[in-house]
Amino acid sequence: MIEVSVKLVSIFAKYQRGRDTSKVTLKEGATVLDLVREFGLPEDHVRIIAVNGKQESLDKVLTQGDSVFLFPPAFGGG
Amino acid sequence: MRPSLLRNIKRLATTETAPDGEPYLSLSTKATLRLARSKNRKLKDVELQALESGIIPERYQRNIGTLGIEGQMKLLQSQVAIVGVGGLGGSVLELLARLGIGKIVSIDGDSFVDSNLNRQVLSQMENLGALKVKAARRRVKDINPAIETKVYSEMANEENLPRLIQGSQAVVDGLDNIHTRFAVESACRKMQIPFVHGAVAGFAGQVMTVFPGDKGLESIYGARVFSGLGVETELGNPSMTPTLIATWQASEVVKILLEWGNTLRNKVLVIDLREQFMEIVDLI
Repeated sequence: MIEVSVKLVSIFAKYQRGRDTSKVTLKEGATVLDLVREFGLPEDHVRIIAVNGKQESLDKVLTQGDSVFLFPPAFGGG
Repeated sequence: MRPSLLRNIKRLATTETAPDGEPYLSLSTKATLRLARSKNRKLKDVELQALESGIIPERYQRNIGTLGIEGQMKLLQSQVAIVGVGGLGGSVLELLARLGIGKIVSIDGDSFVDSNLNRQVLSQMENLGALKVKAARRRVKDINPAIETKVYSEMANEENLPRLIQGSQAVVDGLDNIHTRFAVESACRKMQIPFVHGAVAGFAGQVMTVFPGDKGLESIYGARVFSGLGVETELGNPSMTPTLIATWQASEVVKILLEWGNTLRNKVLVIDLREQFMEIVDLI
């Protein structure tokens, strides 16, 4: 098992559902997509993915201690 | 160089003391207006002539410490286009006008509606139903009549964009839909103009600067056509986020025009005020 942290903001914030997002346990070899599914995020909205500050894709394999950020980019011009 | 104009600028300049205690030569706004009128010159030309001689038009005095006299002159000689003058674009317009960007092009085919009032700085009771670009032109004139304005009451599209943004050194994204954003980015790419993207939803938003040749919008929205609605349709647009993102966009514009570097090029800045969160992601 590995432990990662994930930051969920904007419309993703509500998917935390009280869970501690600083310590998320996933199986060895888990990808960003597994993390997305773990939280039940709407996959089509996951457009900006960063692991340790660098852009990655859904198939990126996560490792122990990774810091993941998932963001649904805004469309609006205010 | 017009010797008589310069002579008059020098005659009307006064010695003032900056907040840091340093003396400087100042030209008041009243004197600038008077000279422009009596010499039949553009206000901007009077300001540029003063700056060239080390005399600071008082309206820019608080810019100079950061921008420098040369930087202020460069801004006055620049042209920036804003595509969409709603929440983001209206606030960018305000900031650029106060900075002294020499020519501002506003592009928007919309008129103000009631639901704009909660956030769009150009909207007010008396201009509901009126064209947004008309309010844009009025606002610039009210703040800084030295600035030239060009307004287009047209919805930007692939066909008209080359004509609308021609001559601009930066283009600002004030749009509310992806399709037009990609069209603007594409036009900017073809015309070799940097593009400052911004978008907002609820308490969150993002900013990215795209130079010609960069991957740009595709790197944050993806190449897939988005089938659903934007997240802002759920979260709405409260007043704080557009002004925040607009501030960041205006700052990017200044850095582009003055070639300062350190822009959000190949990076996306994401902010969520509700979550007290800010992150800059390095894009591939």
